[in-house]
Amino acid sequence: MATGSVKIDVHHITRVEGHGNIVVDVKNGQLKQCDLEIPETPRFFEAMLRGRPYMESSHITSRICGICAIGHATASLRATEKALGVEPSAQTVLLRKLNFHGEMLDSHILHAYMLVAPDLLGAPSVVPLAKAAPDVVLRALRMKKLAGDLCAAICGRHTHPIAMTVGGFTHFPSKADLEALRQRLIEARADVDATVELFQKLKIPAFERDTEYIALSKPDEYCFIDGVIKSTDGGSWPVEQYRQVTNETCVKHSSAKRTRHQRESYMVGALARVNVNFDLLHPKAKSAAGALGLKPKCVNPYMNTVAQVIEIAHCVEDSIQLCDVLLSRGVTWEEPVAPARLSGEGVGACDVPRGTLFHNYVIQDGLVSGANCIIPTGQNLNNIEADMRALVPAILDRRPEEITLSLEMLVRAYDPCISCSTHMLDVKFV
Amino acid sequence: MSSSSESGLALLAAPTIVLALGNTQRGDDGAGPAVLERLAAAGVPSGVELIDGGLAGLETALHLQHRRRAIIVDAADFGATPGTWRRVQLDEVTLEPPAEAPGLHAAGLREALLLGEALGILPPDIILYLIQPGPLGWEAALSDEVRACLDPVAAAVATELRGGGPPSAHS
Repeated sequence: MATGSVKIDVHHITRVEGHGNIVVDVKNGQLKQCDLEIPETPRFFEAMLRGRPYMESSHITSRICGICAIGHATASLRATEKALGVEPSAQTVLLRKLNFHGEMLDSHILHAYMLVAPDLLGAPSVVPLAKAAPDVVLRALRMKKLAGDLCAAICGRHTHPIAMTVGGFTHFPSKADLEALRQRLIEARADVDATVELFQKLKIPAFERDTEYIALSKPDEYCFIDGVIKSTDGGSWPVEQYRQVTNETCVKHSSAKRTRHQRESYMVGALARVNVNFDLLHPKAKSAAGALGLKPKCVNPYMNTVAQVIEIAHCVEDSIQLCDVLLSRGVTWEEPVAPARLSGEGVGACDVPRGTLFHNYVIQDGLVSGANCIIPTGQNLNNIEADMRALVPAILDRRPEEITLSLEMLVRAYDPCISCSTHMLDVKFV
Repeated sequence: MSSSSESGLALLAAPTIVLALGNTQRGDDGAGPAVLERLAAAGVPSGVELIDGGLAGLETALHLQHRRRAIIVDAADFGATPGTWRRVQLDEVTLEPPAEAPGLHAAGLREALLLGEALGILPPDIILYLIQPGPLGWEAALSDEVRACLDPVAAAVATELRGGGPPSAHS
């Protein structure tokens, strides 16, 4: 380790969504400061909900994020439905799962191909990568378009969905829509295989730090919607007890709240889900995990992108199965299930691309009187900082530019969505 | 208006695409889709596909793949009075980068065209119909000035689609 001093100050980390800074200060070999600053302004979505009719919540909160709009809408609907005693139909549950896979695919492809692959392939961004490896970028665009078209068929459009409503849907895919989707998903298997082959060739940085991994879990399926909160440190909690898990606190250098559970920090997201729920992955996803060298419990945060590739394989296969089920039972036009009451409290939880998302609403006489949304990136911030504190001393012998790149790649591996959590990225070496 | 299925896209893609961009919920940003509606209502020659690209993202580049000609209709601020429109070749203009560093939320037509160029999938002929917008607030309505230019723009595009040659710019 170098005994000298290193100051790193990355102001606005690139290829993440939102604004975050990395500030590292090492004096005489001693780490004095190692912060992930979140300077973004809080967005006050919870306050916007207060006083609004319950049926508006999913439309307002889907605006929290343009990438996870369906995730927010789904968590929001589940919170409202639980508050008002609404039990969605079996068809609604199936359509929501298929819709959710579309968003998971879109987000993971964007992150793995557009944001991470340039680092691993030595390109500064996706446009130079397109010149160097057009087939890779075209594949990514092709897969992303399929994901977007899937969402559009189910909920009208991917960004800010319009057909998802309390108790069901206001639009239904036709048999021809589902048959066309199924065919394109089957054709996309070749692109999934090529994605696994690409990430097999890429060198993921070697860095390990054990932490607590948290994800939603169900006994009979790889869980993205509902379920219970489960930890690799042991234990499970009903989603209604999310505050016992998240334990939010404030820190001076971040406008996003921090969380901790059974250790100083925990991780949510694709790697956490694969670690918690590996056995329930589709066999093709397990096979991809084998090919990519990921065995649970994997404690290398850079492997989060690999876990996303594994989930891409899972979501494509599970989407084909869901299309088969929907086609065999037939999709019928259903009226949304009406609320059983107009006052109550509910917690909706979904494992969205970046991790576990909670929406908690109190509704009185049909109007939202209280709301709390806990976003995945906020839950990962303490864990990213803990990784930075472990990583920096181990790489102090490298040039400052290399240290900076390693830290930026670490933050990017978490696929942070800073705008959504500010309630994040520039690296400052001061 | 929907895009072609991905399978066999190269075979199915119409040689000419008219791609409208813009958010119909943001005032005059909806000018492009409104022109497209007029073209759809009047009918277009075979070999022409009309696509409402909505808010352009990087995937917009795929709409331009396997085409010979692309006509893009979009609201654009070129400092004229609202409702003024211009027909330009892509190589006649410079698309300015967004004021803020481009993030995922800011990827638009400029970024899609840069990506398409890097991928080598852009058609040889890209024509832009640019309409100067007025208000871009939260409203699903066009200003009188922009509404007045929709028929002339649609007529100019239709003439061009029928092989009538490029019209001159108007305001």
